[in-house]
This record gives sequence, structure tokens and C-alpha cells, in this order.
Amino acid sequence: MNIGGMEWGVTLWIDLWAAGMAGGAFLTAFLADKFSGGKLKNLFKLAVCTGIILALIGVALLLSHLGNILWFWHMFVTFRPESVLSLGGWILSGWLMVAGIMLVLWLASHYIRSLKPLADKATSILSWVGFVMSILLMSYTGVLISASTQPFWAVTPMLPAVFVVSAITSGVAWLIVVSLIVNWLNRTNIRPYHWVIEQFFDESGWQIESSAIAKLAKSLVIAIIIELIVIALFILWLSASGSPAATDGLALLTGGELSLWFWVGLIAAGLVAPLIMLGMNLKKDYSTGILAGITFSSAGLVVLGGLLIRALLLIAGQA
Amino acid sequence: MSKAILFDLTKCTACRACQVACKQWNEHKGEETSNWGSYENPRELSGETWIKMRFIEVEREGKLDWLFLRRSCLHCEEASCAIVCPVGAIFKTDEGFVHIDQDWCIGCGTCTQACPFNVPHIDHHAGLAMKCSACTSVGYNRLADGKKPACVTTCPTGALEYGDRDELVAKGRAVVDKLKANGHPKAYLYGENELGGLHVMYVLDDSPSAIYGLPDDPKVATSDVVGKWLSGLVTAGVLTALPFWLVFKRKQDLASQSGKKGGA
Repeated sequence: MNIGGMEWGVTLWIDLWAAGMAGGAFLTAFLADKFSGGKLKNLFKLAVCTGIILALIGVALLLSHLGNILWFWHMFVTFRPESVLSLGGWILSGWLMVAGIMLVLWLASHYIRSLKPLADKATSILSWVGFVMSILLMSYTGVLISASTQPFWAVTPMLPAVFVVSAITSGVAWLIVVSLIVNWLNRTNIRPYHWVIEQFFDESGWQIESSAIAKLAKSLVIAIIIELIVIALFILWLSASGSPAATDGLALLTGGELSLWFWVGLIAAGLVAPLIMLGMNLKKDYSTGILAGITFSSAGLVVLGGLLIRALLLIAGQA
Repeated sequence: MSKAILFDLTKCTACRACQVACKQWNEHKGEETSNWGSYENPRELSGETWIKMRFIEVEREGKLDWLFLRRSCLHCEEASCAIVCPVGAIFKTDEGFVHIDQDWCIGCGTCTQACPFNVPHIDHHAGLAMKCSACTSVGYNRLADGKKPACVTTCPTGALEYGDRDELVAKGRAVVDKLKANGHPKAYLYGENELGGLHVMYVLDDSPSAIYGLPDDPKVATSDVVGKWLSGLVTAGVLTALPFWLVFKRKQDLASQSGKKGGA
């Protein structure tokens, strides 16, 4: 199997992972904030700020994947809704624009206090736009792959569902990881960090409450269970498809060269182990002591699992 | 006027003059290859190889047959590559051939995943998607000069013909009828109706999929894209909101209910 020779290789795995996770983190924080009556604004800000970094990584990798990088602008003078990549380029750009405007409004209202009421209203409206764009962003990553003639990707409509569920699972896990990092940084004396935070935000704006992290961890447990069910349905659908090329890809994934990565890397380490580690501590405080370490490593494994599932699905489809 | 190329497998001797003529006309380099157990060479199409002959060994009625099939762009009427191209660099010429504009292609590779025949390839030197243009490339346009494509001109046995598509369909059907009458009941004119009608058609003496590895009912890559968008959107909108509602909203509701009871 010549992975290096595949047209859609490592840059695209990471692009789809980073873009999907940015959308997943936005959607997670938006719903968490809305369902908790607007009490998780800090978490939402963290999701938007780190999501912008992820999306920019996605854009950079998408551009580096192009054979002719200097002509990337051709995509932005053309709108072709029938082409999933064209739509995806516009969705990713739109998402970045919405998130970027929200970030600018938060910064502006930090420096010019009189702007705050207006900025709050505008960011509230933009958050709804960003929520819709996040759903489109997560879906596009899966639809792009499945709108092909490679049987492993195209024979079932389940692939976009797998990508979306994985994007949300990775998004929740990403938020847990960055929340724990930010809370740890707040307790340190790392001057450059505190200086940067003071320049842009109120220091308190970056503290993520331990109860919010605990709830995210509980959400992650449910999201992992849903992801395992969706992956099982995807496998069942593929094996029942009757397409020899699709079942060959499936055999490669579940019993061939990729099987160790699939069963041990993705299913065991990336999903089941975090599920058990988090599930055993559901009633406890996730944010301090050894449990913080367990929560951090569980969420970290899920984030890496999100990358692995994209790599494995892209390789199996092109092998 | 819609044009086409007809490949009559029964006349092909696999001399590969078409491969050489294509390389020569389009000024493509030879590729370094290695023996992989077949006379087929190179092993696959690439950015530098736009035509290659496939060699197929098959046992039929206790007899080993060595069959030859032209492998190149089939110039679909409903071309997946043109549909999925994000910048609209792939279009159809007046004759019906599918052409990649090398001055607009960004080398994203989407067309390479969308083609049901796995034809376009990225040329990693140029950074662009490449495939047969039926000799309509800028600066190399034989058709505009009233010539036939280079592969057709060079074919010594007449296995390749170029002309009006309707006439070639009639010709192909006649050969298929003859084959059927001479002990090839599964003879088939591939491309007459597939994907809205191909502009490169094959006269085959046997089943397209079982013997020649061609898809029986090729589909446009985006034929069920609406269902796939719905799969993603419904999953995102409904299924995944559940954990957040259960954990954040339900807890909030329970807390406010117990607060009211406590207050009362």
C-alpha cells in the first residue's frame, strides 16, 4: 500500500480534522451556553478563539494540498454549488469571517467599554450564524469525500454522518483539553501568557469553571457512545452494500493492513478507553488533581482518534 | 456536431502505436517503469501518460484469450470531473470532448476522486490535473486544423475511428450485431448510453464488468449528493444536540425546578 502516492494524503487528513474540530468546538460551546442559560460565555469565547486557529491550520493545509498553490484565488472568484469543494471553500471562509468578526467585537468592547452593548447584540446574532455555519462546515468535510466514485466512500450515505459525529466528539474533547490548559496557565506565573491575556481580555474571562468541564466530560461520554454506534452502522451498511470494492476497503480497515490502527488505535485507544476512564468518574470533580490528568488524557486521546479516523477512512478509500 | 472515437476491440493488436503517438504529439516524457509481470507498460495512467493499453488474460470455454482494451478518458456527456471541479476548469468542447483548462486548474485533485473510470491524474511536476483532451489542448489542437486525434491517425489496423458520434454509434451497433451472430452473445457497445453517452465508445466482445472491469452502470459522483448533505446535516442537527441537551439543559431545568420547590 503506497500511502505517500495517494492523491488525498496527510495534508487533507489534517485539514478535514482541524476544520471539522473547529466546527465541532463552536457548536459544542454554543449549545452548552444556550442550554445553560447563557452562563458559559467564557467557554464560548475559548471555542471561537481556538477554533479560528484550527480553521486557519485547515485553510493552510488545504492550500498546501493544491498542486498549484499560487492559483488558490481561482476558488474565490468562482462559486459552483454543485462542486462540494467549491461550497466547502466558501463555507470555511464564511465560518472564519463570522468567528473573526466576533473576536474583533470582543476585543473592541474590551478597549472601548461604550461599545459593549452593541457588540454583545452583534455577537449574539453572529453566534447563531456561526452555529449554522459550523453544522455546514462539519458536514462538508464528510460530503466532500463521499461525493466521489470511490465505492468505499460513496456506496453509503453514512460517511458524512461519521464525519459529523467525529467532529463533534473531537470538538468536545478539544474544548476540555484547552479549558484544562487555560486553567492551568492561569495558576502559573508565566508572564508572557498573562501579559497577552491582559492586553486582550479580562483575566477572569479565561477561567473555565470546573462544573463546565465536568459537564463537557459527561457530554463527551454520550458523544463517544453515539460515535461508536454510528461507526458500527457505517460498517454494517458497507458490508451489506454488495459492492466488491467497498467490501475490499472494509476488509482492509477491519481485518487487513489497517486493522491494528483501526481496532487498537481508533476504537480501543481513541474511543473505548476514554469512555471507560471518563465513565468511571462521572460523579466526581474532573478539573483538579489526578482526575484532571485522567480527563485531560482521555480528551487528548479522543482528539487524536478524530485525526486517526479521517486518516484511516481516506487511506481505505484510495487503497 | 457531436464527435466521438470508436474503439473496436476485435481489430486491436495492442501494438501501442496510439500510446506512442499520444506521447509524441503532446510532448510527454517516457516514464521509468519496472516489470510487474505483464506486457502492460506503464502500469497506470498518469499526468504524463494519457493512453495505455490494458492486457487482459481470461479463460473462456476452456481456452485462454488475451484481450486488449484502450484505457484513456472516455469523455462522458455527464462528466463527473467537470461537475466537481471547484473552479470550473473542466469543460466540454463543441465536439463533446472533456477538456481541462491548464491555465485555470488549481491541482486540487477532486476530479481524480470523482471519475468513475479513474482517468485524471495529478502531474506533480506541473501541479495540475491531466488527462486525454482528444487532441484539443491549446497549441496542440489537431481537431481545429481538421485533423483526427493523433491516436486515431496512427492506428495501423483501424481499431480506432474518429467521426460523427451518430455514425459511429450505428457502426458500433453493426459490429456488435455481427459479434453476437458469431458466438459472442454478450457483445456490447459500451458508451452508447452510459453517463448520457460517452464520446469514446468501445465495441466489446463480452461483458463490460466481468471481463473488462468497466462499471456496468457508472454514475455521476454527485448523483446522490443531496442525500449525503442531509445525512450530515440531520446528524449534526438532531443526533448530536442530544448530549448537550441531556447534560446542560436538563440539569438546568432540574435545578430551576428544585429551586422553585425549595422556594415554595
